[in-house]
Amino acid sequence: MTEVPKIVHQRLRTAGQAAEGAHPEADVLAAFAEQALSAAERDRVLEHLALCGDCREVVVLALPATELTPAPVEQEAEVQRAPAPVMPPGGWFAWANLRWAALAAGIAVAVLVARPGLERWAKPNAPVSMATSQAARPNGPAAPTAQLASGSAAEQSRMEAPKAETKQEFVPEKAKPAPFAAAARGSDSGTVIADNLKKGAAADKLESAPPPAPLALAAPGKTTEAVEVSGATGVQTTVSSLDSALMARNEAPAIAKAKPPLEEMVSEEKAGTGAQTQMKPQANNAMFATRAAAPLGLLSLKPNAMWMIKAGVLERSLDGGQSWQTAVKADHPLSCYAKRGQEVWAGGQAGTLMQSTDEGATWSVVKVSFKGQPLSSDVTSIDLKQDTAEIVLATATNETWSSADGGKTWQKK
Amino acid sequence: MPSRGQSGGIGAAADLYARSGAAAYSMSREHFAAILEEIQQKYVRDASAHAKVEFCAALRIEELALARACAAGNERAWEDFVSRYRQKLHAMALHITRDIAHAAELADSLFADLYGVSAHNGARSSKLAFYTGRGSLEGWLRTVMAQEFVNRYRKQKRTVSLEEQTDAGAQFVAKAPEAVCALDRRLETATDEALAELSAEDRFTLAAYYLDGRTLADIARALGLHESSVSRRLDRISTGLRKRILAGLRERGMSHAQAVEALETDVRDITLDLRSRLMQDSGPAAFPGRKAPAPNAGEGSE
Repeated sequence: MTEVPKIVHQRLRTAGQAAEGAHPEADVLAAFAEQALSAAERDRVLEHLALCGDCREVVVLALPATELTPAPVEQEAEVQRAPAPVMPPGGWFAWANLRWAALAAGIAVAVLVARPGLERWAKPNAPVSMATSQAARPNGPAAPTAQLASGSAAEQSRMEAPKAETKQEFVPEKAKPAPFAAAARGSDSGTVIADNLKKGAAADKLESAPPPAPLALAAPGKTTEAVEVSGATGVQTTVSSLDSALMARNEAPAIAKAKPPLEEMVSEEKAGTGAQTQMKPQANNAMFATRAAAPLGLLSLKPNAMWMIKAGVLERSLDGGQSWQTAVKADHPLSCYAKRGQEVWAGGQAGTLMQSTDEGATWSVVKVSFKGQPLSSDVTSIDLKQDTAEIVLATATNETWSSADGGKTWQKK
Repeated sequence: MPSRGQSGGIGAAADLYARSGAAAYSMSREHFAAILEEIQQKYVRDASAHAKVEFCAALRIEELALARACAAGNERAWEDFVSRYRQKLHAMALHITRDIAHAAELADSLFADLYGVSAHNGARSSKLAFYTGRGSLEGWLRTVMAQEFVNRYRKQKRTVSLEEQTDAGAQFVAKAPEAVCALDRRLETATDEALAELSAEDRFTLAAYYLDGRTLADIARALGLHESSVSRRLDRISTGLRKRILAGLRERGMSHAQAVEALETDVRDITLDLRSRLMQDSGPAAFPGRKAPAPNAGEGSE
């Protein structure tokens, strides 16, 4: 952050101390913080706030707790523009980053495992390709797809043809998907990749241009994608279902970060073989293709839904709080909500309890009762335990209702 | 035309009354209309009839009816209010004070003010009579609580005992040194001019970040922006200010080198006085407690 000269601090302070005039009332400050003022009125409030430290403090103190308003996700354009990854609130140890760490470790393992295999073969110059897999295309084999990402792929295939002859015999084995790859979340995309690899293997035979250690990077779905790394020995690592917006926000830079080590490691294998010059342009083109895929919507950029209760109605925002839509309205006013992954619960007066398991797309009314006695008092808070299916409701009459099975049966305390 | 506008206004008022649910709290149509009129008088007195209708349509009408019904002493409204906001008040207080004991004190105090324990002409007067529906009731409650907290903080700051000061090592604190060299008036004038050219939002951003030490996230939430936008804005303002101050100094007869030196000399020599920074306030009671009017809907709050 650029620092301003100290004279600016001093003059701002002096202006604040000299300022006079009445403070805006609480309802105006509240409306200001909720962006509910007209432009002219907002400017007047800002004029005051620029001078009044007390009111600035009030405005900031009166902001709702952070967990109720998660930070909006950066827009697509910003993802494309940002050169460095923006860290999510969880920091470096957030799950999204650990997943990438797992990917990086997988890549390292794949290359290390591939090393003896490659050395065993007379020609260790295994080309590594990173490509955007066109999984949606029915006839999109992996290896040719990798070539699509490279402008000089056909030429390269011809160059590699003589070397590839000795490797054809192990290509089908390499192309077999590892069991856990197919079983991973977002298995549809994983299966497509596996199919593509098989087709790719067949195509490789025909074209005599098999890449023995392909590194196919796929982004087939809108909300699901897979990054697959295959070594010559069949080692595969799959990371799929990048449904988190934070993950999406980080993925392009993370891929970019993963590139140099990959290049270095594989370059080591090829030192002195002359193949290095083939691999680098291919990888670079693949990276370009991967980055270019982001604005086309191939990568998941779905922001986290934001929620709030307004006038007894649960509202949802899918654009980082810019606009709000009614998510659910019950017969009685809603007063509290809680979320756990895709699961959202809302409670309100007269024992009203609503549940959505698809992040607010569809809702169902949950009838809460224990030994034939229904919950009739107002639900004032909902606590969803993060690691279990347990739900605990508190009511205005100080009752505690809990369910250990996701809301099917209830206990009253 | 006026009659048309008036009839439209009457229709809108009826619609607002129906939407507000005021009838459930035994609030008459006239009472509700008087409340709306009072709010219009306060905020859009000189606006056109159409603008007034739009203004009323944007109000949190249901929450307004609830708050004013509470202020009017309706027990059912109060029960609804308690069920919706009682627990939230404690959570809000904890969020503001970051201290369980202070939070309980603050929440209970506000709760009493909202109920209106202080009798006024024999009637209960509630702070909820000041809610006008411009923002959410929850946001208003948070703001009122934050104001109360800031007021108490000021009071406490002024009544720190000598022992506490000693414990805090205050008696050893040297008096903040004055600026080593007298400031060039041209620098102050050029800076003031450069600041005056900024928009109010930019000056708010500057003050919140550099004077108050607020985080980008807090500023972004207060302004309804993304954190990265605030960061970029601060960079832009800082760069622009520097250029503008330098230009102002050159206009006042300094060479570029002299202007740069003046700016940088200032950076070295002026001591940043955190104490006076914290003292940027306007009096012991910035938000004086307001006496609520009697729960008569016709009365204006101003």
